[in-house]
Amino acid sequence: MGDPQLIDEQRIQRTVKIVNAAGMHARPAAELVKLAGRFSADIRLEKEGLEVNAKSIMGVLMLAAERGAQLRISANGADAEDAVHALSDLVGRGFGELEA
Amino acid sequence: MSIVLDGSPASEGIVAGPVFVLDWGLPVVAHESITDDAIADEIARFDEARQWAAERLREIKEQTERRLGAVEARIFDPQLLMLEDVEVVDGTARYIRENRLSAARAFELRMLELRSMWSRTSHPMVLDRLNDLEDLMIRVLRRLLGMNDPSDLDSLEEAAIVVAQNLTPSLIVQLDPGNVLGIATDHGTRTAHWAMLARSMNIPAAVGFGDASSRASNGQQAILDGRIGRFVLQPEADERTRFEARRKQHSDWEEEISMIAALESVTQDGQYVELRGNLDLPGEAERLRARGAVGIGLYRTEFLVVGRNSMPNEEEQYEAYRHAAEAFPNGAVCIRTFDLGGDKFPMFLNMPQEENPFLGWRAIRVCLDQPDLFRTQLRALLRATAHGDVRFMIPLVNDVEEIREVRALLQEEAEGLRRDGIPFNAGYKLGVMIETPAAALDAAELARYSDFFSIGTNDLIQYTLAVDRTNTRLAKLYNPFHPAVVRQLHQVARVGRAAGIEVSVCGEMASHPLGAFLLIGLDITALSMAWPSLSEIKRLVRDVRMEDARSAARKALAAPTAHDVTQCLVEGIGDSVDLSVFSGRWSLSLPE
Repeated sequence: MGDPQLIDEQRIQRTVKIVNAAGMHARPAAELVKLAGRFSADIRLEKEGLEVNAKSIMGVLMLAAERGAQLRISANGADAEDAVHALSDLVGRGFGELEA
Repeated sequence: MSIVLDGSPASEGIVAGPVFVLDWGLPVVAHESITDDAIADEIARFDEARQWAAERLREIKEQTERRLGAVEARIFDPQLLMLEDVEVVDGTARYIRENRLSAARAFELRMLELRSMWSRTSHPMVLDRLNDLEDLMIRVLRRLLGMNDPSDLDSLEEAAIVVAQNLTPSLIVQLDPGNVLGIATDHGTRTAHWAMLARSMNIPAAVGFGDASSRASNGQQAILDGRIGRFVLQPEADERTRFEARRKQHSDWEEEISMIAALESVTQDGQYVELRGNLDLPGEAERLRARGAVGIGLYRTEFLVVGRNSMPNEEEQYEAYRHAAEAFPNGAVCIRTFDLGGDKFPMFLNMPQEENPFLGWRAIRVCLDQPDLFRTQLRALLRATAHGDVRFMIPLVNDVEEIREVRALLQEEAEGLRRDGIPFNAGYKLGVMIETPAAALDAAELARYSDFFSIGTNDLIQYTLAVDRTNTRLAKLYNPFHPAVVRQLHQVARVGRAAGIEVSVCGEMASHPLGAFLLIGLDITALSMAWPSLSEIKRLVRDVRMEDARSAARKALAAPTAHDVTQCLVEGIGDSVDLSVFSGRWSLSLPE
């Protein structure tokens, strides 16, 4: 996981890996959507060519991202950088589901 | 006039009170167009229904949090988010505006569309969430159509008898036991998982009333007799008098058997019969002890996982197992590893839809395929052995390979604990549950790798007779006294004796008066049962003679039909036990 990349003037993205055992099931998906909702930026998630709105639970659940899946988070807007940081941090921490 | 419905008993107790019809299915939505000037109203109606549904969900979430904890309560979050989801909200509003559809029809169409989009991905993780989507559809549509909501139950001023087509384990955990007098269902059987939960929660229940849910209406007075499986709507004076008499009889009987709890479990001719309890829910250990159980013969661990959306961690499991061990410092505590599948699904496992779930991916088959889940449980179990005679038993074992594999995993986990300096008893006991004809016929081989056998008669009967025990229509064919069952019990008992290992029974058969008598006669002298049966089976043990039981079992082994087996047992018991006190609770009719 490198630093966020600037792909055009506003849009930044970062690719993260799902690390928690159960993958992005209902509860993590809900947390991600709630977190995304706090930013004004347009945030998208992409997995294997399927791109969805990170602020839509219907979309995020459709990704069915399992452990090991690569997830591309991209954002566009005033707080895009903060948004990408926050979301990739949540995914990177395994949504708080990693056991000590 | 009274309407008397007869079904099958599922959970003890007699209650009277108002009816609450729990109808939780997708309602039929008519295709309805609206006029231009109604658009704003319909959108407002949709928003109101959404807000109302969100309010309801938050209430249910709070209740769940109080009962099961904050983590579990989050299972309602996806639904709450869906209610706000732009795809749902804007999509529905667009259909109202552009296609002039009623709010209900527009919402239904939009949700069906989203559902088909999800279904296309066909990933089990997504398919799992279809339940959330459907639950939400039901909730919002019912509001739009002016139908009631099961959570209304929580706002009832008076506790009610819940009447439903059928229940699921996840629906029953949503019910507040304080508001439920009893449960009557159209379908289902006493062995369904929710019925077991009802028995644990001490909620009277009866099943198989056919069309009770469509005949009953909210607020109607009713009597439910979970002891004989009768449901009376709008009872007249004579029914009420009979109800009072039965209730009195029931409470007298309760009082009498509670005194038996402290007495010894020994037959007239001096044979000790060890009576243990079956535990479904964590709080039950104390109740089992109060009813005179000397140990736990079947600790069902599924409550740790069913209806949950995350795996229970080692610490949580260890605490639960330790609690049971400490409740019985001098008795055996036999803990069954996760028996998932069949009708018990955790949310975090992607259980596939199967044609024959009871012949499918369940019990030990699931555990061996899910090493993370299984190893965590084994480690927690090993740690619990430091606190008492904690034994492990493996459900649905079919052959030696499976038990060898479990032994190997246990050794690895034990090694890990030793390395970490965590205490456990290295002399732990691993038992096999005999639940299939394969295991019964192969018992001699299995005995070489087992420290004990525990016969799970519910499954052994259903697999031997090829009778689905949840199928109401087949209830009569599910007969524990079929000669093929009796012979297998005899065979397993004999093999166990020869191998010098304990053989116990933890199925429902042990709580059946004739079943217990037969088992004792087959020299199976460790029986485990749900708490309500403990005292009455102890009374039976104290009233019979081992010699009579053995002789009846010998005759039963030679009997050609289930009817003849039953006959031998009834004759063997003779006048020593008043069987009428048990009558009505068992679908099996005793010869008159």
